[in-house]
Amino acid sequence: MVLKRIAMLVLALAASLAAQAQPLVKVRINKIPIAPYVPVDVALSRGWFKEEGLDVSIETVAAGAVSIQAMAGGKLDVIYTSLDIGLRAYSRGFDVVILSNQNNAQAQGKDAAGLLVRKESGIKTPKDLEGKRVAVNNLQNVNWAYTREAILKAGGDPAKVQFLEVNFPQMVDALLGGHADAAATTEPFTTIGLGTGKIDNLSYIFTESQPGLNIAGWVASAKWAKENPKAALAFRRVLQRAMDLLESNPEEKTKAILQFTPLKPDLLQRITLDKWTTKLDPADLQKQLEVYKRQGMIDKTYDVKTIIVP
Amino acid sequence: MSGFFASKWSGFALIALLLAGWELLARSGVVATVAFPSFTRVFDAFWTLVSTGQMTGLLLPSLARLFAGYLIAVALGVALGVLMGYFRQAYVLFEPLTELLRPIPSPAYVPIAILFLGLGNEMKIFTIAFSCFFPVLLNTYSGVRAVDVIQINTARTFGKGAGATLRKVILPAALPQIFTGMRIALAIALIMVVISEMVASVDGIGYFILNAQRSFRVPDMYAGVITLGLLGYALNALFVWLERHVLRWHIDANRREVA
Amino acid sequence: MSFLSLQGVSRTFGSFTALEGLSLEVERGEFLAIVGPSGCGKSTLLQIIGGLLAPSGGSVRFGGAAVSGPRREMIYVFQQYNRSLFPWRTVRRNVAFGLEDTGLDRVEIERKCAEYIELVGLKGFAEHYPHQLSGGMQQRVAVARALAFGADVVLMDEPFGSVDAQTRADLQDLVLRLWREYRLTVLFVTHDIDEAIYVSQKVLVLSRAPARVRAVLATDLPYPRHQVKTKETPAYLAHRRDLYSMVMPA
Repeated sequence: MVLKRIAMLVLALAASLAAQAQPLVKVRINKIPIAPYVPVDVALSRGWFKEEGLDVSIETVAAGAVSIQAMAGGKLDVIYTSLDIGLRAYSRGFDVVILSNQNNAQAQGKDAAGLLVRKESGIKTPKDLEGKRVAVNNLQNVNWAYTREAILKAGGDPAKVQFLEVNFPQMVDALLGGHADAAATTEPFTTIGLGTGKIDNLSYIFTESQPGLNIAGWVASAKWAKENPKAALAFRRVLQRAMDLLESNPEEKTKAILQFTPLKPDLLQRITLDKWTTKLDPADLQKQLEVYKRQGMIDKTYDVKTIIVP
Repeated sequence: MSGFFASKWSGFALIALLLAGWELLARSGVVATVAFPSFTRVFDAFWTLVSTGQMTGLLLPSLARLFAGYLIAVALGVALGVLMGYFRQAYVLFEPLTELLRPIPSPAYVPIAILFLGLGNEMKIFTIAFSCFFPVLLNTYSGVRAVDVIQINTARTFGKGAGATLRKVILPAALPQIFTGMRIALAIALIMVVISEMVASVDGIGYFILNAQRSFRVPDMYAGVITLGLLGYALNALFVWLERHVLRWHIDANRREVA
Repeated sequence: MSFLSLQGVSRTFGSFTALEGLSLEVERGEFLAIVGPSGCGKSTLLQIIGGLLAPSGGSVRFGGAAVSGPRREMIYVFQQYNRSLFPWRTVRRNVAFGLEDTGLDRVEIERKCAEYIELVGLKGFAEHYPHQLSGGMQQRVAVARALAFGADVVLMDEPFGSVDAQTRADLQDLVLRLWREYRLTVLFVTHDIDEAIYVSQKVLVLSRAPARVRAVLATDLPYPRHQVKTKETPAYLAHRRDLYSMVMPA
C-alpha cells in the first residue's frame, strides 16, 4: 500500500516535471454547479491540471446546449455537457469529438433522473401523458428523448404530448402549481419533489430504458483536440484521478460536494448520485444515436467510434 | 443615376447587395460554415416552412399573443394616460408607481410572471402587455398635457362639458402623440412575444427558433430570425398605413410646414 | 335688471396687474367696440366677460347672475384663430362643432353650416382642412363657426386681423347685418380705430396696463352703415379725430 502510494507520487512528480518543461496548454471550459461536476472542482483546487501541463480556465457557467454554440464560435475548447448534445451536433455538421465520460445513470433501481407527476393528477403510466404538458430542462435533449421513449414503451404516442422547456430548479414548482403535468427531473429535484408527499415517480427514464446510460461527459472541439492530442488525454487523466479519489473516499466526496455545490448536507444524504467515470461505452452511445434517430432528432446515424477520442 | 439613389429601389438594392455578399462569404468558407450557413441554404429552410404551410402554424399563435397583449396595453395605457394628463390628482397619484415599474427590464419580471401565471398564454400576454403599456402611457400622457389650451377653451366657450371635450378635442389633439407611443409599443410587442416564447412555450415563432437551436438546425434558426425581420417589417407597414389613414390631417399639415 | 355688468373687475397675473377697477354696463343689443394700446388687457377683459377667465377681484354679472364659467348665451372668438380651429376637422365639421349635441338633427346642422360657410365667402371650401387654407380664410372659418352657434352675446377678439381689406369690409358688414337681424349683443375688440367706429355704437377706450376705462365714446352714426358713405360724413371724421387723440399715447 505504501509502496503503491510512493510509486504514484514519483509518477506524478515525473509527469509534472515533464509537463512543466513545456508551456502550459490552455484549456477553456465551462462549468455547471452540480454534483457530477465536482471532480473538476476538486482537480482545479488541488492544481492537478497544472501538474499535467494544462492551464484550465472556466470561461462560463452555462449548460451544454449553450456552451456548444460558444465552442463552435471558438470561444471554448472542451465543454461539460450531456453527451447527446455532442452526438447530435456532430450529425448537424458541428466539428466535435467526444473526449470523456463523466457520469452514468444507475444500472438498476433508483436513479437521479425521474419522471414526476402530482399524486392527485390520476396519471399512472407514461401513456397517460398524452394530451398533457411535460416539463424538460431542454427541448430535444437526452431527457426529452428518454421521456418519449418511456411514453413509447408504455404504449403511448409521444407526438400527442406537449413539451415545455423549464429549468430544473423550477420544475417542482411548475408541477405543484399545475403549470406542467409531469416533469423530467434530475437530483436533487427528484428527491425534493418526492419529499413533498404530493408527488409520485412514473419512471426512472434512463435506468429503465438503457441501464448505465452515459449521460454527460466532455465534448471537445475537433480542431483543438487535433492540435493538442497530448493535452486532451492529460485532461481526461486528471478527471479520472479526481474521480478515483472521490469514489474511493466517501468522506472526501461528501466534503467536496458540499464545498462546490449549493447542496445542503441533509439533502445530500437522501439523493441518488450518478456513477462517475471517464470511461465511455461506445455501444451505449451507439444505442443513443438510434434512439435519437427514432425520435426524429437526427436524420441518420453514424459510427460513434469515429468521434470518440480513444 | 442620381434618380436611382433618390428612389426607394436603392434601399432594396442595398439589401440585395448584402445578401449577395453573405452568399459569397459563406461559400468561401472564411467563416466557420456550421455557424454561418449560406443564404441559399437559409432561404431553402425558409421556403420549406412557407411551402409546407408550417409558417402559418408558427406565426398564428405568436400573432394572437402579440395582438392580445398589445391591444390590452393600448387600451389601458391610453385610458390611464388620459386620466393622468387631464387630472393633476391622478398624475400625482400614479406617477411614482409608474416611474418605479417602467424601467424594470422585461426579462427581470418574466420569472415573477411565471410564478403567478404559469407557463401558458396568460403569462405571455401579460408580459407583452406590461412592457407595451409604458410607452403608450407616457406618450398619451404627454400628448394630453400638450393639448393647446386655446383648443380646450374653444371647447369650453362652445359649451362642451368634460366628456365631450375629452372625446372631441383632447383625444383627437393628442392622437399623433398617442400613435407615436403605439408605434414604439408595437416593436416592443414583437420582442416580448419572442422572449416569452423562448422562456416557456410549445408553439410560436420564438419557440421555433429555440427548438431549432436545441436541435442544431442552424439554417432553420436563421430562417426563423429572417421570418421575424419580415414580420416586423409587415407589422410596421400595417401600422404606417393605419396611421396615414387616421392622421392624414396631421401628416399633411406637417409636411406643409417643412416645405 | 342689467343685461351685462362689470363691477370693479381686476385681474392680476402673478405680480403683473392687467386690469384694475373696471366697471362697465352693457345693454342688451348693444354693439360695443373696445380699443386701447397693445397688451393693455383687451383680450383678458373679453375672456373674463366670457367666463373663460376668473377675475381676481370684482364681479361680472350676466342677466343678474354671476358669471362663473362659459355660458350658452355667450360665444368667444379667439384672436389666435389658427390655434382655435381644430386641424383634424374639415371646414364644415369645424363650423358644425358648436351645433353638435344640441338637439339639432343632421340635416339642420348641415344646412346651417352651408349657410354660414357661404356667408363668410368660403363656399366650395367646406371639405378643406384648415392647414390647406390661408390665414385669412382660416379666420373666416372661425367667425362662421362662432356665428353658426347662435349665441346672443358674441365676444370677438380682433376677429378680422388677418383678412385683406375687401374681405374685412365684407365681414364687418356681415357682422353688422347679423347683429341687427338676430338682435345680438356684440363686444368687439380691435386695434383698428376706423373699424371700431364703423361697426359700433359705443367705443370703450382702455388705458395702458393696469387697464381701466379711460373713455367711452358714443358713435351715434345712423344704421345701416356704408363702407364709403358713412366714412365720409363729418360725424365719422369727428369721432375719428377724437378717438385717435384718446388712444394715442398722452
